[in-house]
Amino acid sequence: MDEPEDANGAVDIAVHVDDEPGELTADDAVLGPLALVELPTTAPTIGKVLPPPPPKGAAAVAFRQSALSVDSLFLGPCHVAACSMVGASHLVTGTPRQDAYDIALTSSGRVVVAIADGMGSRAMSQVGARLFCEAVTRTAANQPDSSAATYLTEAGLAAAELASTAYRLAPDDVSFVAAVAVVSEERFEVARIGDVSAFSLDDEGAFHELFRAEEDAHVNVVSASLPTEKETHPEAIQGVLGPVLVLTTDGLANDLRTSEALQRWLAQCWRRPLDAYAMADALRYHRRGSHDDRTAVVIRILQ
Amino acid sequence: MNTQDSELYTIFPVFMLVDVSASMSGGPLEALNQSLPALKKEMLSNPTVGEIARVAVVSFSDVGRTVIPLTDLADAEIPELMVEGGTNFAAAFQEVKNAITTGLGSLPKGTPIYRPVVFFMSDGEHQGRGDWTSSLDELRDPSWRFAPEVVAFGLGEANADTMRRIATRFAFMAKDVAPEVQVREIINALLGSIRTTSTSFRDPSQADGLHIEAPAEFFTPLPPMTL
Repeated sequence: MDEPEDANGAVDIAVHVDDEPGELTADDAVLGPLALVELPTTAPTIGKVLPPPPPKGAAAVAFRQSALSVDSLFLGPCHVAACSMVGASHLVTGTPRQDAYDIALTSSGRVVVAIADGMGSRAMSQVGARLFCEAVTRTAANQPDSSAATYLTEAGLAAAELASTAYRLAPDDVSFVAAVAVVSEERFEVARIGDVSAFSLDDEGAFHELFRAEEDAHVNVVSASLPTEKETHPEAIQGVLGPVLVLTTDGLANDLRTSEALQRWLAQCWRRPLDAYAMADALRYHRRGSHDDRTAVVIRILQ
Repeated sequence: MNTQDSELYTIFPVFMLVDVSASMSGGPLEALNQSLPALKKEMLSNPTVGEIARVAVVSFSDVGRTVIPLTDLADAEIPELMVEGGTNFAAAFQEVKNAITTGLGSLPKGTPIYRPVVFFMSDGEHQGRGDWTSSLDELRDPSWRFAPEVVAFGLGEANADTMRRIATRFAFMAKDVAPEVQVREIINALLGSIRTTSTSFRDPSQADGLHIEAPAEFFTPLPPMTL
């Protein structure tokens, strides 16, 4: 596989940028008046990419999620910025984003973050992902001092029950992988089932993956998911909180592991707390082969 | 700073293992030769396929040949497949194992790789001397890090039980339509499977994330064989 020799391997993507949206320009003569207007971005293009597919919706899609969900808020001892963005794979098929996240501040001052990634082959997995994240925040409200693993386990059960009782969806229909992080002033813990990832970002702009990535594992194989009839044994880590903790779903994690250009871009973006729009813009990069939903929750301890 | 050397792009390796024995002459081989440019066109137009899938074409008759080594098909010259002699399954599995080893062994360490898939297509039975199953078992050896998923499509005079033996899980017999139609639909199934698998990522209970699109109108799915 030979890549182009220019520094970034970038190819121009057909982006129609209107200084005055609504007025037809010369580009419209080529792209047509239905060409989507995009806001400019400095997010990089990495590698040889094909033009992104137009966003489309498929017929008879139940439980749709928005293409984009963003947040930026000060919570207890932290600032949290989050973005969940639909991937090109779903734009092509017209199916909804299957990632979800949620954030809570407990009555005891701990920040609780849930992040989930619905299994691509399950048509309703976005329901499981969403119900899980909501269940984590509900559990945290009722049990402010429980562990991340407890929140994850109980929310997994709650998500399955609710999917069944409220929507008549079987556990297999709503399968997802997930992680929960709990952050206090000095310490953090993260528990996960499946391949949701956690990174720390140090003051030098280097990312450090906190869960050991399985070597030689195939990209499209996952060892565990929720809901499950088996007893849940989440992987868990804990430690002293560094400057920034980042939770990501697998699409973004895979990009971070394998792209120095992306590491530099996101380290630059996340060196300071971002508002919601800037957080969304950080994930607007184009990278060859990167078509999964992207979700990142950036947790920064306030000094 | 040149960022290319430091980038590791996700790869979905697909190996087409196609029978070019004498019985494939005429319509079936013509359909095969027409399908490869169509596959290339898909690579050029669909980013979710073209940016990830890498395709190799291995033909077999008395011998196996790597016609197109694992590559980005968008950049490849598509040669014309020619009819050859008999049918030797052992040679087929040995050659595709070589193609996998060469294609994946040359990737930079740390390259994210989907589990390789071999799409096997034949209209006949093994005619060579000796046992062919040992070559198949070497190809499918689970201790080999590149051991592929093998999907078998039988058409014409192919034996259903042989297709089941070859497949790791998914085996199909083409229904009774013209051979060139059978070949075209097999390629369509291959393309649909690449498309869906490339976009459907992982699932622990759905067989390592491989999704096969083989419409019932054209294919009879065969039950898995337990050895």
